[in-house]
Amino acid sequence: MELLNRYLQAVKFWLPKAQQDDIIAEVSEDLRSKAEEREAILGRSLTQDEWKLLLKERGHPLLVANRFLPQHSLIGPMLLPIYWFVLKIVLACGLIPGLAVGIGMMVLVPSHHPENSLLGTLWLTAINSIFFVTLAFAILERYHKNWLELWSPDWSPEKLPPVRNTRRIPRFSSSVELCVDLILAVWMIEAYGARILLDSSGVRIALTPTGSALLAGVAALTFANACVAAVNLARPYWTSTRHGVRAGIHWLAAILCLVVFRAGQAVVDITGPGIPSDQAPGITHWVNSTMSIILLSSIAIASVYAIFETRKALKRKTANQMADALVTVL
Amino acid sequence: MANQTKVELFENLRQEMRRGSLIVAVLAQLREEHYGYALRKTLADHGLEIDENTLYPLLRRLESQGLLESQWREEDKRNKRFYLLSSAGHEILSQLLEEFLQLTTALNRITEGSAVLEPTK
Repeated sequence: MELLNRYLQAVKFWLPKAQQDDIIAEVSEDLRSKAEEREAILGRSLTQDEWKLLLKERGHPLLVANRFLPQHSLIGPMLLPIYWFVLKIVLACGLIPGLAVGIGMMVLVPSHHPENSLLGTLWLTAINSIFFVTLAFAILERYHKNWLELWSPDWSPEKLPPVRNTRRIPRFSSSVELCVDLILAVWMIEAYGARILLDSSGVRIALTPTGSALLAGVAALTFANACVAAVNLARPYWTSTRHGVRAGIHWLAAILCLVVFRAGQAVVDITGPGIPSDQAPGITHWVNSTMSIILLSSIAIASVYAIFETRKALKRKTANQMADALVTVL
Repeated sequence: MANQTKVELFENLRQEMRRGSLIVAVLAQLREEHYGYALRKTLADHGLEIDENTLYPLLRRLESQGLLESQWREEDKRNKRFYLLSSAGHEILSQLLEEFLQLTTALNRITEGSAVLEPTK
């Protein structure tokens, strides 16, 4: 009997106060009835071991209590997919850029050790993002059970977004891309020929040999991208080849920026009557330092784009192969 | 699929399938007054085993939904809680039984002559 009382006490501990006595009385009655039945079969009282077995059969006290507790969820099944979707976006926006620049700095600038501050910042960003997104959704779940009706009270199939053709390239975006790329490429070729980026108001920004090489490379890649945009304009459907070419352009851009960054040489030289001669070296140094940060960011951005384009190229290729196989089988 | 996974999958699906049927069975059995232990024994005698950790919380839930009424009473020198179907419970039970009958009929029609119902060789 002592085992039974201990068991009931353990179950009681986890139950809500208002219902404790009532539930325990019922559980106790049930266990006693079960014990009586066994005693009637055996013709004697249950031993300590037999009580132990009976209670173990009933289950862990926490499990028994848990079945009587109301089932709560912080975020219900209706909101959960939206919660994951929002959380992924918030985490991606908060973590990826910081992570890319931080890793880039660690790899490319051996003297720089931002590990601790970087990890601290990323950790704080992640915790804050998770906390605030979870809190917002928990409040929505708790106080607006009918959030779907509030959000979209008169939904209709006609109001749903049209089916997206992921292969189709909008002609408008191709036109804009083509124009911008061509203007940039022409400007860069001119600047490369003159070796001067800017010459006005007494300020002259001249390209160093490293700067000229970088500009020539970027101009060539921009022109290549303009060619892809022109093809996209004529035939507005993505193919694995075009994704592959774009991936190649982005990989080359990342490599080019990486090579220039590793060389660690000045890209521009600033002179001119508008700048006091004693301040010119300082301004040149500041501009070149800023260029280094831009190069680093460009490496990160171009790499991310390159990875996405490579994935798309491979995916499209696999889809095409499967379609061909299906046609052959049919 | 690994054997263990198959067993677990079957167990989950079985529990899911039984859940609704248990409610109907409990409501139907409580057209006559029973206390928890006796109800479980009666259901088991009819071939429907139900775990105590499922039955008692279910009884409380059905009572809080107004489908059952209960009272503590002494029987055989012990206090027992007796449950009985309420008038709202009677109404719901008849609707559920009708639905259950339609479901069984439909299932019978769907699985009629189906290989899945043939005994495993």
